[in-house]
Formats: sequence, C-alpha cells, structure tokens
Amino acid sequence: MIALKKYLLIFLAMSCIFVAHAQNEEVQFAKFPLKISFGNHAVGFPFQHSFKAFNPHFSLGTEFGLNKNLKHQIYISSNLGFIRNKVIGNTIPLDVDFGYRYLHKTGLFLETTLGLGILKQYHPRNVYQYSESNETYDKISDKGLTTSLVGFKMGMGYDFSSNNQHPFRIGINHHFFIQTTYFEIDNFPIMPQSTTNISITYKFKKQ
Amino acid sequence: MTKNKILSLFICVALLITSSCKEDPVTPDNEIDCTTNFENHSNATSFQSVVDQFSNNGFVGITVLVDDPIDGLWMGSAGYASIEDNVKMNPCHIHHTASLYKTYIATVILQLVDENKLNLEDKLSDHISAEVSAKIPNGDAVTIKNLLQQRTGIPDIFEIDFITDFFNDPMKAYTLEKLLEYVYDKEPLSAVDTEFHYSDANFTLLTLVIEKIEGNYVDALKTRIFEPLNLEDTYFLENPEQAPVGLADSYWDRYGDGNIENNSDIQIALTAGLSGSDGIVSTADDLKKFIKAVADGNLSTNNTLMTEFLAVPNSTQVYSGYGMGLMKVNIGGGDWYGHFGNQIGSGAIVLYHAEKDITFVALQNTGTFFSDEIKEKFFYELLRDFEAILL
Repeated sequence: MIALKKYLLIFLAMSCIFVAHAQNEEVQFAKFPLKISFGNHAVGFPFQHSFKAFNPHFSLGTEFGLNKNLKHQIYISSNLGFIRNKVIGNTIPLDVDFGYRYLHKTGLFLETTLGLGILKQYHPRNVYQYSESNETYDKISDKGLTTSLVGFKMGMGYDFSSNNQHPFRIGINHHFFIQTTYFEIDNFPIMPQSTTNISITYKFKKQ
Repeated sequence: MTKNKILSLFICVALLITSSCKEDPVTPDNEIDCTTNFENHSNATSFQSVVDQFSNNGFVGITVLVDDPIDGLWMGSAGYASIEDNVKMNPCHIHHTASLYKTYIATVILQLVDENKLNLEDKLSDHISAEVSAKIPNGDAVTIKNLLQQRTGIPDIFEIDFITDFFNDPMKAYTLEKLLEYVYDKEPLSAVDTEFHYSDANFTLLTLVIEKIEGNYVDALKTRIFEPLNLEDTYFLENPEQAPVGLADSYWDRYGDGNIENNSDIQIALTAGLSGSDGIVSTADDLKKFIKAVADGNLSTNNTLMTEFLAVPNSTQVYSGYGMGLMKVNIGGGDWYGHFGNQIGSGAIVLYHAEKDITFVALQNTGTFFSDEIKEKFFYELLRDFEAILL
C-alpha cells in the first residue's frame, strides 16, 4: 500500500511538471508510440500481494488506434516484457491487447484492455535431467517453458499530448493475467499473476 | 628436544579435538553409516528391481522398506539423496514425512483421552480460545472425534490463498494461529459429522488442543512417541536450522517436463514453518517402528479407535476410508492402514497390512504436491507393484 502511494505521488509530481510546461502548438503524431513500463510482479489475483515481494518488471510496447475519436479511443496494443522472479522463474511475456481509453478534455484518461499472449518462463534454479544411458542426472541448459496467458489491464493517467503540449502520456496500470499451464495438476493448472506499473508513452512527431 | 615432542603432541591432540568437534554441514553428502544387507531376502531381487524402475522414472531418490512375518525385513534404495553432491540414496537417509504428522497427533490425542485429560466427544471450543473457535467454520459444533475423522466441514488450509502466498514468500514460517487464518470465517463445506473432507486445519486445531493441555506440542510428541519408541533418527524441525545431517535433498519437476530443480531450502522451510501440519523428518526404519507401535496398541489403549474407518466418498481417492489420523488403502490386495505424506519436495507412505502383518514404508525426495503424475506413480503404482510381489 505504501509502495502504491509512492507510485501515485510520483505520477502526480510528473503530471504537475508537465502541466506547468504546457504549450499550445498543433502537433501531429505518428501511429506507433513507444511505451515503456516498469513496476512490480506478484503471484495472486487482481490487486492481491502487488508489492509483497520485490519482483521487478520492465516492458516495451506500442499501440495502434482503431478509431479517430479522441474521447473514446479504441486500440490494439502489444508489449514485450521481462519479469525477474526468483520463485516462479524469470519470465518473458508477450501480449496483444484490445483496449478502450476514455480521454477527458483535461488530459486525464482511464483505460482497460483484454488480451492474450505467450510467456517464456525459465526455471529460477539449476535444472537437471535424467540420463538413461549413464543413470545420472545431468545439468542441462534451461530452454524454458512456453505457455499462454490471458488477462486484462486497468489503468489511468494523463495524456500531455491531448492539449498539444508534450508528446507524452504517463500512467499507472495493473495488469492481471492467468498463466496456463504452470503445474501439471488438475486442481491448480494455472498461475494467477499481476504486474503493477508506471508507464511513459512517447508519441513520435509526424515528419 | 623433549619439550618439542611434548609441544608437537599437544598440537596434535588439540587438532584432533577441534576437528572432531567440528559440526557436519546439513547436507546428505556426509557418509552416514548404513550397513544394510538384504541380499538373502527371498524377494530382494524383485523388490530392488521395482525400486530401480521408479528411480529411473521420475523419482530422484527412493527408499522402500518391507517387513513381513515370513521373509522378514527388506530395505532398498535407488537414485540420489543429492544430485549436486553425487550422493546415492541409502535406506538410512532421513526424509520429510509431511502429513504423516496427522497419525502422530492422533496418537497423542488418544493418549490424552487415556489419561482423562480429554474426551472424544468434547467440543473443540472447550479446549481452545473462544476468539479462535468463533472464527473457525462450524467451530462451535465440532468435537475432537470429528476433527480426528476429518468430518468437520472445515475447508483445507492449502487452497488457492495459501498457494499464492507461498509463491510470494515460500520461506515464510507460520504459527498455529497464523495457519488457521486461511480458514477463518470461510463457509463450511458441510454440516458437522455428515461428510469427509480432508483438511489440514483439523489437525492444526488438534495441535492447538494439545498445546493447551500439554503446554508444548513438540515436547509432547517427543516425550510421548519419539523417546518411548527410541526413534533416534526422527526429528521435529521447529526452524530450518534444525535440519539434521543425513536429510535427503528435495527436488521437484516444476513443469512436469522431466526437468528437475533442487528445492531443499523451500522444503525445509515448509517442514519447519507449517506449524500444526508438518514438522517431522524420519527414516524408513523409525517409521516402521512407529506404525507397528500404532498397530500393536503400544502407544495408547485407544489405538483401536484409530481403525474405525469411515467411508471416504470421493472414489478418485486412493484411500477409501479414514479413521482417526489413519487412512484405509485398498487397491486390490486387502486393507492397509497408515498415512500418505504429500509435499512439494518429497513424498512419504507408511502402511500396515493388518491381515498379513506386513509393514510397507516408502520415502522419496521428488515433490508430489504439484504433480498429478508423480502423485499417481508414488501413491498408487508403487504400492501396486509391491503388492504384486508380496500378496
């Protein structure tokens, strides 16, 4: 909770700085902005255990607008990330999401997405495999496990470009996703997880 | 010259004393004395062949003990106690026993009944604080007997909430009350004494009862069971530092893809940290002594009550009945009773065949909890293969 407050304070401070430097030039932006997110990963259901353990998460992404309505934006986004987690294993998630963003005239926005993706997950420790020929366990290089994910995001933030001020959008978001499969067991085949992030989206100016 | 000789002798003696006092590290890589030879046993080859087959098929290391009145004792092992240190498993290695804990706790409860300190029909709420019993589902109605027979309707501790907590902090230690918080104010699964629902909470509550009557449940286990039975290689881990020399390392096949990871530190933390649900590490031989004592009624005059099995309705369970801290297992070769232990880095079976007077103990160091395949192999196929030879 304290960590969440810190994120909010950082977000508000950044908002103030950018608002203070507001400009009024008309600028056209290119289609594919660059989104950088960093935050914390946790095992659990939405908003559960979000900051219980330090498992850093970082991702790069972009999005593509499906309509031209500034107030009600519909878009497809994609993110490639990295999660450092010493318990469930380091993970590379790649997701594609279908999103909706409500942008208020002040520049504040709320957004939600639904998405699918794949995860490449690596064992957090040395891995051994039984060798039938010499009846020993040999240390092997970890090729990881590829599984699928399904999840949703909820976020809010401030779009500085809405008033043609700066080519930035900053936000906080919570991404809940279910990894399937994790264990080979019938009653718990999934691994519920989430990342809570601060994101900065940079919109490239149209040439 | 004489002075030098005396000085040298003194240094040698000092070195010998200090080296002999040096504590062994807590790993199974120490040479533990395990002089066993069962080659003359009439089933030695067949038994060893089954154990070898299992160690080549998903189990890092495995030990099996069979004791029957005709052929006597046989113990055999295969695989590794530690892959990293290249230590072969042997019958004297110590293993995590997980839910076998329930049979020990049931035994202490029945001893307290013997001593009129407790009555099986007593309400749980008569023996624990009102604050705790008020938060337990059916907490005001369940009796000691209901808890022993797992007919309380209290949900299990090790459900999704615990699992997500575990994956955020696998080394966490729980007190009895902390562990019970996982079932506080939950909806009961059934009315009291109507259905069987396997729940570790039942035995955590019984542990709390022992704690209230005896002061310290670990001391009660030691003085009432470990010491009278002379279980020299049985230990209760109250913290991870107490892990004994000779404890086999633990492993798991996390994704069920044949790739094995060492999870000894997590397994030790769980054994030591799940107060009222786990804690005992032991050897095959000590477990044989314990189950024989239960079977022979040497621990409590009420031991016979433990085998009043009531049907377990879920037909997918390997065990078809549950008594008081004892399972009834029948996979075709008659009734066995004892208990299974299911953990993330180990698996344990202790069974006694009353009709044939046979004891069967199997211990292994590959996690069963998160793998249906390993569970099926260990808790069903291993016993089936041994039954085929034995019965």
